Amino acid sequence: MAATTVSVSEETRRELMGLKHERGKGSVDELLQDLLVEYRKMRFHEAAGLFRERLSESDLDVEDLIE
Amino acid sequence: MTELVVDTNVLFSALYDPESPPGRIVEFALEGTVELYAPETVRAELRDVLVRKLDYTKDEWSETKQALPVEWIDEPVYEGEIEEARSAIADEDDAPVVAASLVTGAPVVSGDGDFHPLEEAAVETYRPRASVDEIDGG
Repeated sequence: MAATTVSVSEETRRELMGLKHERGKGSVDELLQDLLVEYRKMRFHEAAGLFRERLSESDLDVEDLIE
Repeated sequence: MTELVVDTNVLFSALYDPESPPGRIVEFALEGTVELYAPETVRAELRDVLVRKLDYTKDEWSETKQALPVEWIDEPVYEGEIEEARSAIADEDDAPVVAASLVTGAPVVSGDGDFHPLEEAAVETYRPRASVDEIDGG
């Protein structure tokens, strides 16, 4: 896979390297891939939380939405 | 990478219970193990239900749409397959899902009984649990 350069501050670099070591990742790219998956999952779980909240506020069941 | 076409009920069920088989399918997509497709009609139905029945704001709908790891397929991409799709499924509203499957070659995952089995189209269909078993086994 082709690589490219991302400019980050020295502090961010230090933190990324620390996290890479802490998680036993072979590269920062591998670490960032993991963090992106975690972010996507968090965003999905937030959407699921909102959905359940709105559903419970309504008098509908999930089956009522699937026509 | 495994590719699947999902319909509306899979996405609602995933949002309702992320630990359910439909939720697992979405999780596989978030992890990059599978690629999910759906026709734009599924996106429109989701939006309509969330806004009309659950009072989602424009921003809430936008955030939800972005949180779903789905590649939406526009009608011009699948319209050439829509006649074959209509002849294969009882509910005409589901034809775009079948057409999306015909155009991508990816099987359909749905909990809707109308999809099981499809007799007239060369489209593979799975129920969500069977799909999870297939991905886990693969």
